[in-house]
Amino acid sequence: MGEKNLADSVLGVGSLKRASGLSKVTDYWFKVLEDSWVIFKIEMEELFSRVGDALMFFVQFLIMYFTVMLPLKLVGAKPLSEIGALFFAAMLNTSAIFQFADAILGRIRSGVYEAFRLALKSMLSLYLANLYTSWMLLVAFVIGFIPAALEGSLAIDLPVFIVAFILTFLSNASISIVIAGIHIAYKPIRGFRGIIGLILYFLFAYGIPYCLKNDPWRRIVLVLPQAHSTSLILYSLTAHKVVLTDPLFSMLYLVIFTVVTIPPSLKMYFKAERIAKKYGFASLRR
Amino acid sequence: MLAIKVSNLVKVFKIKRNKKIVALRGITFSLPKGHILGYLGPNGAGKTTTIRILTGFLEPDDGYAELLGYDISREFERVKHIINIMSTERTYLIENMTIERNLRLFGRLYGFRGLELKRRINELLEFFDLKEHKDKRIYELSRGLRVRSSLCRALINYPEVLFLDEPTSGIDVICAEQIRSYIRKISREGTTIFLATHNMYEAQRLSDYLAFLDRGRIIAYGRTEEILEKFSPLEKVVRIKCDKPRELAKHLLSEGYEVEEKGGEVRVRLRRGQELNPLLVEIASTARIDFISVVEPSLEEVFKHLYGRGGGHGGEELGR
Repeated sequence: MGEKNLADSVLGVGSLKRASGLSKVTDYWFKVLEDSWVIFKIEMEELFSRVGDALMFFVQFLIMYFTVMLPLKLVGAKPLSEIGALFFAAMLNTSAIFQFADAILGRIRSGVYEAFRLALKSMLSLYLANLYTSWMLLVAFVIGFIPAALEGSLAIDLPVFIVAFILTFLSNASISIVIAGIHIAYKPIRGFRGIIGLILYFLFAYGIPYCLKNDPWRRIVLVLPQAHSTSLILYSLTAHKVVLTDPLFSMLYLVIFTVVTIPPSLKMYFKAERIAKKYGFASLRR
Repeated sequence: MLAIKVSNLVKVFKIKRNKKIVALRGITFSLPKGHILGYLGPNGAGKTTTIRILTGFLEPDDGYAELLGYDISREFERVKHIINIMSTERTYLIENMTIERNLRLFGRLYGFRGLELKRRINELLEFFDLKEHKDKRIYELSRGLRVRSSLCRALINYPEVLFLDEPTSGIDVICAEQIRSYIRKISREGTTIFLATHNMYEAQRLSDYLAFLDRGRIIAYGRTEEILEKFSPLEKVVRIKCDKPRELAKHLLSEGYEVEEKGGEVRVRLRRGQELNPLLVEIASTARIDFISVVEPSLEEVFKHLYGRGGGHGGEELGR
């Protein structure tokens, strides 16, 4: 019996077709994940090939930590675990807001985005590779919590923290997708990336916690997903000592926000891609 | 087999609410596999737009384009892995990564690995004399080295069609000559090359086919020698150094030749239909010749003839 007939008789022709369709899907996802891993791995190799550059990341996080720790220690005697939580929540939210946009920002002018477009099976790999770099937040985590551990105030609710971490990334995805869409089709915003990042960082570190504690602002700020994620991070990283919102309500809000906002933001992004294909990328237009 | 086939390609850019630029107005041309097409035109003629459409970055508003037999609007995914692009304007490389890592990254994404990838990278680094610079980051490189690195990346996947957008613009003469010799080598290996350039000398020396673009229209297209024959207003240019240049110039002028006298040298531009022999007789009978040379017409003459001495024009703006 031929190989095909044998397969037909064992699986049936329909199953064989389904199997080949399945293998196409598997191959596609395998390639997407493999590409994302290759990009991430080689970018990390580059980063750590020069000690100075790698150290810069550490120093950068350290400076950011002190911009939160020093003023708060000067005005009041907050425990270091709370300060570390504020710092980490701000870093996490800022990083999450650019999780998708950073895969595109800065890559169009040099043409590397287009080179990736030719080389990659799917541009999703570029986004995933960028997402993997969030492991570097671990450095921020360590910086934020070593002082607290030394002080003896460190107490973490790990399961809630993991949920808060994932929900922060998910709820910020739609905003990040919109930023990327604006960048490719309407207005190049690469030049503002640094300053926007810094403003957002201070907003998340000081503005949102302040608003959450003070009433007319509290009602306004609760619309923002970052208010809920900040509250959840503070809640988990202080072992429930700081409760700014009802944690269950915040989790639910972040899930609903993600589900409701991702489809329209993706729609907007695809429209932006169509515009870029029709008139060229915003940063390259004459 | 045709590597590129373009038919009636139209591209319109909207720049403001009621302003549009027609970048391409129904261009048609084709290029057989393994040849070099010199795509010439002044700034804004539509050269880069054509490349961006053919490499899938822009959608045409009308018309049809085929790469290696695949319709780029519908089957681009099938062809994107066997083409590549290089430009001096953009490096298409990660700026804060070394040349070697950039090549490894793109090589891996194109599916090469292990020894095969290592061999390909070494081959390219050697081919472009980049071995000693391989550990430099792109932003640290001079313009010439950037162009060579960019060419390396563009060749990592053994492309069957390579798009070069002004590959020697803004780099010094020696480096430009080096790049040209690389382009020739690449072409000898069987790669079809689409070369958009301003440089007439480069186009004439490298191209098998030429297409002249003006305001989004192809105004001349054909094999290089055919274009020279058909569009050059001159047959030949004769340069003479003699004992009486002024008298010779006056005499030749009176005989109806187009003559220019400068720095003791007389230049006679022979138009089509004017024979060389009678001119040589006239020269010999008027002056004692120290030096004489006959120059074949250049593409520059064709360019001047096609676009007029005032130069070309960019895309035309239209109201809505």
